[in-house]
Amino acid sequence: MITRLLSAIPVWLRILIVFLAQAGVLGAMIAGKMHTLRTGTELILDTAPVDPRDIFRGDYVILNYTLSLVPAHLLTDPEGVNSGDTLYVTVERTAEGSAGAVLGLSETLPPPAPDRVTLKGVVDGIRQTALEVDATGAVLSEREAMRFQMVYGIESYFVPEGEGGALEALRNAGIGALRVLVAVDAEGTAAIKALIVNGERVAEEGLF
Amino acid sequence: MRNPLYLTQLKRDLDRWIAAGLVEARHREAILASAGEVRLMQSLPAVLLTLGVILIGFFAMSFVAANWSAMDKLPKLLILFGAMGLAYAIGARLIARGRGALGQAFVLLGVALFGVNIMLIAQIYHIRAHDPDAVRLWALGALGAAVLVPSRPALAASLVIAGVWSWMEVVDYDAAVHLPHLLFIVAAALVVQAFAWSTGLHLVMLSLVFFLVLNAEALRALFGLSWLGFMAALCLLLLTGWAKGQVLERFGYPFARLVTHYSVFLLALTLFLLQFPEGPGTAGLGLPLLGGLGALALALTGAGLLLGRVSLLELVGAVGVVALAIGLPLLVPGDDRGAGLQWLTAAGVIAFYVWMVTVGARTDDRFLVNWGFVGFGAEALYIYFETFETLLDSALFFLVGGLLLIALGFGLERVRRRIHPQGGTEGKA
Repeated sequence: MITRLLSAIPVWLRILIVFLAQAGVLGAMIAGKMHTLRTGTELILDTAPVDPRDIFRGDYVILNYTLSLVPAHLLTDPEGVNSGDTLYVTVERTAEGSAGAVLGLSETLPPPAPDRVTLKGVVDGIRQTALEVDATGAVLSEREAMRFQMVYGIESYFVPEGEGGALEALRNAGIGALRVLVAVDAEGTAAIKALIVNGERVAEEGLF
Repeated sequence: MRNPLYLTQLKRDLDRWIAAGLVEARHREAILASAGEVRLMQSLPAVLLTLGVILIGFFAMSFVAANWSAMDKLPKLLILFGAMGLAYAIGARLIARGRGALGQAFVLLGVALFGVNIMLIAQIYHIRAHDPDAVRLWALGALGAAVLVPSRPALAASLVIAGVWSWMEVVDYDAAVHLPHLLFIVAAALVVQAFAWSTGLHLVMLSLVFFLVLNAEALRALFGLSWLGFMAALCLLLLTGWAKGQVLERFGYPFARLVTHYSVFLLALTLFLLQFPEGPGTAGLGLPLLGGLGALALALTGAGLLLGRVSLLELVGAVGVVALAIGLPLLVPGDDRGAGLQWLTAAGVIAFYVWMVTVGARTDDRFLVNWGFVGFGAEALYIYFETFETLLDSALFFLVGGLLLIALGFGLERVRRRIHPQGGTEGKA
């Protein structure tokens, strides 16, 4: 039956449908990122990159952010969270535009608030921090030491072949040498907008 | 194009019939042409074109890997969409003009470029997502092209890409039983059936085998089975597949023979593996599951018998497999099977290979005969090298087995002569 149905449609039209459908999928990928880059709030994140190589996608730097590990106890029921779950991480946005302290963690998108940015992420694992005390010197309980490893979809930065090493060197120069400017849209989706090296914007990403 | 196995068989038969004077030699080529033989030289351009397209696909991926940094985003995107569109446009034009093989090669190129474009766009926009999702998207795009064009190379590509997707999910991301892959294979099987493509069914079957191997540990854990229980369940499942194939063949299902062949081949392999010692822990034999599968297999075999597709000999074989698959887990005392049980299992496995050869000879099915002999040889070698207790035990096993088979052969020949008293020597297995 399907063969009869298909034979009634000219071959050029069938292949055009294939092309349009596949181009539509690719277009949706691009449109999603463009929407985030165009409408998102800018936020600067601190990183700690490493440099592997992907055989399909050339050189890229894996970016770990200070926000990649978030305190689980900010959630009412952290034990109920599993790898693969979506969580929303709300951070303070400093006057400089960089990400400050983690203010909240929720399973649904919280309402927008001034000087706060919410990032949508996926739990990639649950860890126990090696720290025994917090910044104030207070002893951490086992629950307080629990961290969610988060993935925000901004963990890869593709670089021309062979240039990953230069970024690695920057990483080794110390905290703050390599930072990432991201755009975060109203749904919490983030996209990389630029790299910031020693306080200067480099490799700025345009829409096209 | 006809099944190549059928054509090979026909060529052999024709040569035999020509030698016997039943067919005139001058008619040989005409008969083969009428049977749909496509000479290798005729299909060679299509094969070379497809291989060429695969190489271009790899070139595109390497090009991506080299990371073309000199261009802005817009020209990059124009090249990506343009190249994919151009490949499909050329494919459509060629197919419309009746140059199907060349057109299909370009459709395959379009499918390859779709996958490359997914990766490139992820690269351009620094998208980091769950990597297997991108491969799944690619496989679905290839399957869509396979249905709409329709395109066999795209279907083959979709199954291979889906295999890569499943591999990434299971190996890289520790997915439990990757059922979405199974759903994809079922969808591909429906496409194969709709287009009556026998080569596609081979790919579907191989994909199923890949799924089983890749998810074996997760499936075993899912059903709470020990390895022995899992392998026994697999034996019974494959026996069910064989019996179902027999029933389907009775109703003229075009791929029924392929189903029975794959089932028997895999059953022969699984039975062989059933002999290897159990890993730690023999709990979880899943006897209700084994019982249910065994009952289903025997019910289908019984149905085949009633429909005239299954002989009494085949039914006996099916009962033997069920007895072995259910009995072995019941008899295994802990991790140590003991020599007696090992000999019993080996005898059961040997009996199955003899059964394959016998049934194959009776139904003129070379596949069964050939693989039955291969299994028989492999089992004999295994016993020889394993020497369960002593070499003398093995020697005794071979002697008893050999004498039994010779006696069985003589017995069957006597029965055959009684049924066909005028028959000569022709037709001996």
